[in-house]
Amino acid sequence: MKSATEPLRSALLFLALFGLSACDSSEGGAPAAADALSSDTLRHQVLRSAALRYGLVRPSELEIAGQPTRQAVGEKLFASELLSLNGEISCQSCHLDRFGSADGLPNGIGVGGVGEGHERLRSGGLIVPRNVLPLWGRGSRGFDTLFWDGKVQLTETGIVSQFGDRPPSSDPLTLAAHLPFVELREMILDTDEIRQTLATEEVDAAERVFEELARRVRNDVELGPAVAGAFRIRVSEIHFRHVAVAIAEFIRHRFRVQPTKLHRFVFDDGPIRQAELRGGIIFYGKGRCSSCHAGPYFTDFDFHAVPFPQAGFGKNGFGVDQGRYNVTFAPEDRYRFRTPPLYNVTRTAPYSHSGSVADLRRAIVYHFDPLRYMDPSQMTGPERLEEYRRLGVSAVEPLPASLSDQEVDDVIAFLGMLEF
Amino acid sequence: MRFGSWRNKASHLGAFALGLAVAWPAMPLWREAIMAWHQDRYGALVYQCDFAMREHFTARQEASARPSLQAGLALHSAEIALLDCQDYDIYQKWLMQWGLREPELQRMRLEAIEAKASDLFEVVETHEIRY
Repeated sequence: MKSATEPLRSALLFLALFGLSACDSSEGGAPAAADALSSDTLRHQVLRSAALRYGLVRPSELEIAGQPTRQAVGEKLFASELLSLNGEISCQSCHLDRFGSADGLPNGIGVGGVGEGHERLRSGGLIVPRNVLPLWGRGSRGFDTLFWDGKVQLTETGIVSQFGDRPPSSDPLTLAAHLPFVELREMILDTDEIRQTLATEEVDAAERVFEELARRVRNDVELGPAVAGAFRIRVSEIHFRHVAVAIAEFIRHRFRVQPTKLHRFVFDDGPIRQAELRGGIIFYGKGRCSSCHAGPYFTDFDFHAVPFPQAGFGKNGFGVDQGRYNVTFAPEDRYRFRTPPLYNVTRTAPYSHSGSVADLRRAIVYHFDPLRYMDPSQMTGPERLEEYRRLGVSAVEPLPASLSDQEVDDVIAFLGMLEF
Repeated sequence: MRFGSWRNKASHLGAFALGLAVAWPAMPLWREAIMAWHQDRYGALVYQCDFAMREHFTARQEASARPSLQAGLALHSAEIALLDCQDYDIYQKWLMQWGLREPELQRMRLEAIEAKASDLFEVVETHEIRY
């Protein structure tokens, strides 16, 4: 009996040894590692050092203190449909907690939209031809370039916006808070009357809308006294700038950057999983993500081109959106958009300026392998032409290495560390 | 006891001889099995390290020729990417621990390179102009 079991035991030992050799043993060089906590001190140090070098700071350093009373009334104004001139829509209609402070749709649905998510898409509301941006970090220290095309921007020479030399505020977020209320289709129903009286692209026309909205606030039994109390003025003294300041203060406070797992790892020696660590090393290393997604908000606030497909009619119509060019009219700015910040990026699908990319995996792959998801035979001639143009502009960007699917998953795991 | 001891010695010697007889031809088979099992991963690391070194060289040249903040950051990213070469080194040493020698590793590297080369041959064969 003994002699019969010996060869079997030897064979099992051989198989066990071979199995060991086939498994991967170390975090770095060896094959697939289970997603356990990492203890690779070299890579820990490299990731911490890179994160700091590329501008990560504690969230408390980004915070700008506000006044709680203004934040409280700002929250009410944020949710009030009273501020839509001729529609029934509020800021909150498109900035929902459920979708990471965006709306979960490719393009925004403005006036006429009802409900949330796909229900809103099917409700027949007017389409706003850009992906709704989440609000995280807006108005905090240094976050001074707003919207996809940077149409509100604080520069060394002052604030640049469509208000020209008559900006209603020197604070970019407060100024930006003025814009949706005078944007046709977004919060104003596009009617013949509006076209004839207000759609003149003049600051005076916007002022007339602001005055009407301020009048409504003054006459509202709840909002009027609340705004007056927050600013210590009489109700009759309420102007729209008070409304905009209160909304901006609410956004600045409610959507401020808060400590993430990455902050805890970098500043407090917190734990990190192996996949997150691998993703972080790729993010700052061969992925070259940090070439643009740098700084405390993971954006350089500059304008870059990634050949994402265009969804919807586009800002310039017929499936065209020329991005930053619409603001500067500089030919080199065509198809460039502001680098989006990455806090809570895992919660704000769909992605790109037109929301054409459904998930984060594809959004990452489009940075280095856009042809993977394209089928030119299914595109029209003008669509292909647009794609060639986008590809041409994006080809001069700092392209990352070609990442494997496993590496893309690792980057997604790392981006998950930016949730709060 | 003496008889038992003699039988034990004989059985140990027999087992030793049998082990030698099995191990001698088994060793190349073992190495082949290790190579086949790890060719894809090792080949990927060969490519990644080669790519990282090339990118690092390019980034260093760029930073030297046209110094700027952007070039400095690109060089830093390229330096971090060199960790791929450390992964390659560790993996290679790990394979050596499991019995592979430099000739086997050389063959695996060649196969990794030829995996790309065979693609190229196909492209040439398809597109070359034949007179």
